[in-house]
Amino acid sequence: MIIALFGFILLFITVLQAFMPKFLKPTEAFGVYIPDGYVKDPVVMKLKNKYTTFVLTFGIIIFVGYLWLALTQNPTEETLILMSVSVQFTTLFVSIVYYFMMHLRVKKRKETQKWLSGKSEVRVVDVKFQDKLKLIPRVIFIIPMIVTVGLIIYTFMKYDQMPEMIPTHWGPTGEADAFSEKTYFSVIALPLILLVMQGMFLFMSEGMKFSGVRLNPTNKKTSLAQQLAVRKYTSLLALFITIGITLMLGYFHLQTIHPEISSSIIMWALPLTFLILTFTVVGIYAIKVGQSGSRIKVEENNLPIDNKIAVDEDEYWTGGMFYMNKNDPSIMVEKRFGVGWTLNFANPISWIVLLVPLLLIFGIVFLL
Amino acid sequence: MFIEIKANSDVPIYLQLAHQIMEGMVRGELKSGDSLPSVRAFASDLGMNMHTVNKAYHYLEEKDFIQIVAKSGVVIQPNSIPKATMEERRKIEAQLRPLITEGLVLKLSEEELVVMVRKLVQNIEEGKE
Repeated sequence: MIIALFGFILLFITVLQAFMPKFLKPTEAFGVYIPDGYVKDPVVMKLKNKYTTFVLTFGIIIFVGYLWLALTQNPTEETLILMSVSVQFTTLFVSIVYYFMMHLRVKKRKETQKWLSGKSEVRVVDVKFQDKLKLIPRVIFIIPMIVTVGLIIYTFMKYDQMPEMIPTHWGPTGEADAFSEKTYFSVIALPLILLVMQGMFLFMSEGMKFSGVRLNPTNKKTSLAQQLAVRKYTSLLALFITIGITLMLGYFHLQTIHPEISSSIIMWALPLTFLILTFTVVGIYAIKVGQSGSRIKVEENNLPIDNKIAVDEDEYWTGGMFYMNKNDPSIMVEKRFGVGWTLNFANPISWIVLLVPLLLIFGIVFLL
Repeated sequence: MFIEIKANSDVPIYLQLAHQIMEGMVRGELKSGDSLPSVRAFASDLGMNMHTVNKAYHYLEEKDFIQIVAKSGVVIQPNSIPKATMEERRKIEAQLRPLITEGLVLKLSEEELVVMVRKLVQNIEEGKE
């Protein structure tokens, strides 16, 4: 069971990492801005293919090695989990190191070939963007949070009937295997964590309004439609995950109060279903939307390019991965190498957004 | 409506912003009462400092072309903009004078300058550069 689960995740990571360049905008290769007109540069294309081949080959070798070790060596459960997690990190780490080598090569190519010289860097803004932007309304995200608060109140009402030991961890078979003593805090730890996570996803959806929109001057309409789509789908994804975790953790919590609804089948099937569904939805998101909606196609007559390119922002992207621009008030920004979002680390609010939920969750776990 | 800001231009960014918004008003793409992005959203889209956007908005507010309403945001002047007063006329003339002079020094004829103005008006109305 564990082997199948981790094997699936490992394979998923490998394939996603290996084919990453295929999901990305053609104007960004390995975290480097490629102006229109050079997106088909043979060297860059070659490096992309090289990256895919390397990461895929390496990942498959690790995957086969992992399966072989796990199936023939009969490791204990703890060793197995440790092993499973470390192979995932190895694959990720190696792909990131290889990415970085490619990043440096593309950067050098861009400099030596002078791709920016003689071009006029233009920033395009749609002043009506906020009116066109359709997100899931905030209230939809607040409803599950109210449910969680209700759950906390309900827990206190049922405090006397609760068992003396509160389960805090469930093993792979769905049986609780770690407990904390009953206190007014430990009985609500789980809904509190849920509340923090719900808050994070609310922020993720709302953050779509506070994230700069970068439009491509050579195909404004297409990039506008893509930007609207990527934000809408991010908001939808956040809602999907919020509902998922609310149902899952809500059930976990309720069955502590009412052991009669507990079922070990549900206890292991629920997280598994949630995991598989999430991976599926994220997979669909990556394939359908792609980075910045680059896989969404719009009919547009591209007029001949008059030497205009988007503003080169490479200087703000450390290693092509970390965005640091103290002028830009954006909090969330789209990843350059990857589908999804990262933070503007030069904005203090980003650090608050990143650290506060982490500290809260760790704090709750630590206090148990 | 799209606006385009040139990153390496001699014209300051805030003026480029203000000019583009005014051109949008001339073309009717920005109608009276239309809302403009918040300072934060605009600056995020530009990847530029909020002061730059603020400066542009204040420049336009001084001319009474937009209204900055606390809380509800920035809107294109909801009341119709009246024809230039004598004072405003004189101000524009004063700004044009050195440019016309420069053209005359560079041996442009009056006719050529008039053609130039006509061409510019047409480009602004059609949104060409």
